[in-house]
Amino acid sequence: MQTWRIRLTGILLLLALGPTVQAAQGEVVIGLLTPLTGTNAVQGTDIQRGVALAVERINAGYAVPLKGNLRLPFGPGVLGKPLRVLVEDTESRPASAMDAVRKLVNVDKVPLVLGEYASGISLPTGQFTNAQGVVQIAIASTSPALRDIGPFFFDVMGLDDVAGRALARFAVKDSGARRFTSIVPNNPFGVGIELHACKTLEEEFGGQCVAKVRYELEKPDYRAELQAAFQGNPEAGFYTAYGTEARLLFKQAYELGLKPPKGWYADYLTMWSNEVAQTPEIAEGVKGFEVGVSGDFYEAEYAQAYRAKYGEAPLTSFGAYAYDATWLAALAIQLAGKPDPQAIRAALHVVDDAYLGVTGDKTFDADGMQVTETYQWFIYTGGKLKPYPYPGE
Amino acid sequence: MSEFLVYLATMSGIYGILSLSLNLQYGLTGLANFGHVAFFMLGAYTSTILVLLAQLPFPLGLLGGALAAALFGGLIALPTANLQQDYWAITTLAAAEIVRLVFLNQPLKGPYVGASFGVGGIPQPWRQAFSAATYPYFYLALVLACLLATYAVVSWLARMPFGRTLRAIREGDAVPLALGKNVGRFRVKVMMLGGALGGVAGSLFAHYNAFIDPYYFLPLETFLVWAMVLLGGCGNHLGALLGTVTVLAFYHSTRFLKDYLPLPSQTLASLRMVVIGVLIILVVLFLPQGLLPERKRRYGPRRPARS
Repeated sequence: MQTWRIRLTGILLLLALGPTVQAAQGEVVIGLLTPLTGTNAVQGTDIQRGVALAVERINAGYAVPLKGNLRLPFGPGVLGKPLRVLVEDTESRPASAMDAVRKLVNVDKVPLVLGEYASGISLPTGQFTNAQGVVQIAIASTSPALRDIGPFFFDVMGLDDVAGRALARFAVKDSGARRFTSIVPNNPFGVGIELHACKTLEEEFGGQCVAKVRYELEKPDYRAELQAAFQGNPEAGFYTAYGTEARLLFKQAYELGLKPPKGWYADYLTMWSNEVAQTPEIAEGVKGFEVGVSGDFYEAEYAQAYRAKYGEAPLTSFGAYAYDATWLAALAIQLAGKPDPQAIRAALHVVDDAYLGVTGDKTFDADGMQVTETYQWFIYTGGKLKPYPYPGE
Repeated sequence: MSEFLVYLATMSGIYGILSLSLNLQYGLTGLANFGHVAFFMLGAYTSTILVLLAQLPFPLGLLGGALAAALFGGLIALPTANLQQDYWAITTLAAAEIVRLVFLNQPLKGPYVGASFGVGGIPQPWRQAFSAATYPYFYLALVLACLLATYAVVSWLARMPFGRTLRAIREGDAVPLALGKNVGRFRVKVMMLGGALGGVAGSLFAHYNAFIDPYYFLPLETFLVWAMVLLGGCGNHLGALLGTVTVLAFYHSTRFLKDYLPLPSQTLASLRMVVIGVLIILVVLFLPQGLLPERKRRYGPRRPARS
């Protein structure tokens, strides 16, 4: 805890003496890749709102919270100039995301790109930005394959190895079950969860994933997949789904009367909690985690302002991650003193120790991935997510 | 900006090869191939496996990609060669999905290479010989050379007796059958030829993008190529190329346009999709023959046009 205090002092000094005082011309421009249309449009919109909220505060001047109950007066603007974010729609499609990232890097010449949401898109865009020497901060991508992209790639959410392990430990402790089924989307995110949840179950608890189902996205019918998931008499299940698919999966499982005796254990509950709200009985009793988006600090720092600006509660938990990523980017650019990717990259490894995220600790490890992730446990009941005590605590 | 234009030109070249190969199959022969993306995917994956995992040089990868796609084209054409158009659409669409599902579920090396994780770090051919600034121009030249070769091959074929037989098949089996042509065998040949060209495009794409995963090869990509061929003009090779450039230009210019419009980014993103859809509908309504209609040779005296 001493090291960050020392570094913090350094940051405070640098920022105070830094180029904020110069009244500069022009703007600081960064890019955002987000799915505003397609499968992940809801999450992508929330991400765009989280970024917009941060930018609004940065450009108006804001006392940004730091660890150790400190607040740092920041802005207005970055490096004395307004911060502008160019929003590019990825259409939830990798080919289109590549067009978008090439536009941002080659035409708009941004030093830093925020996004994307899906691992399958962060992976190729990250490889491109990394080869071009441009910083990219992924917002909610969690595939373990992201770790190896390179020095210019960062991620503000804990990867699936952390998440899969946490889910398996919680599920075993809560249910006592050892025979699990696993149903995940067949993409880097879902498969990453399955690999790590099942591995943890086997290695730490001597349990077994008796069925592993990887389903295709955007299918009109999942009854065959659900039947397959219940082969081998599972006691409980690991469940991963995006909103559109979750609604159909829960509905068809409900119609078929398929439910593991000891229940479903799901990750990232807000991926689907809005989508199933109209027929809450289909997901009644699902337990699982949500990432660091609750508590008084989140409420006061983010959720209230979000509600005031958009007139509704945050759509998902991912907007808050986008908000944190934007702040980290702004702090790093300010500390770097110029919008230069190499300097921003180095600065990100400094500001992460001081910044207090609305989604918790945001420290990057040497690969730019999150050291820890805060998981909160909930049960979906009566159409709402209610806090659920971690077993044994 | 120039880098982005070079990127667009390179992608137009790659899609141009795809359009030409679809034009050969649909425009000339009338085969409603709704699984064209399978050739593209097979070319991309085969070349990646050969170059990245088997450490073979790029030209062999390119050749391997073309060969794999050609074999696949022949394979799906064999049992369906004597079917009518609508059945072609169904079988080719399904065959393309089968290919995609195989690659989606088959890891290539360890749990994180292949399958849904895709394959990254695909080597770029002759990368060391160029600087970072000049390499895109070299690759563009490579793609354009392949495009030119493709164009030369398809226009040569179209002028040959082979091409005339294909056109006859398009208008119905009766005439070519009466002339003693084995219609089924011609269909198999044209699927293999078109497949090989699609495979070349796939290989070029994989080594350019340096990353592929099964989500690049959804059926949507097939329909993008269809839009290019229909817009440009079925049966006209230059038309197919013009269609490619036009569709890509529409698609990308809307991305730039939005930076200058004072609307919320979410509204703009949805509007962009609407505009692209409307443009395609307008073309189908008002230019049903495409921008450059096929020039049909007329034999005998011209009849006065019926009005």
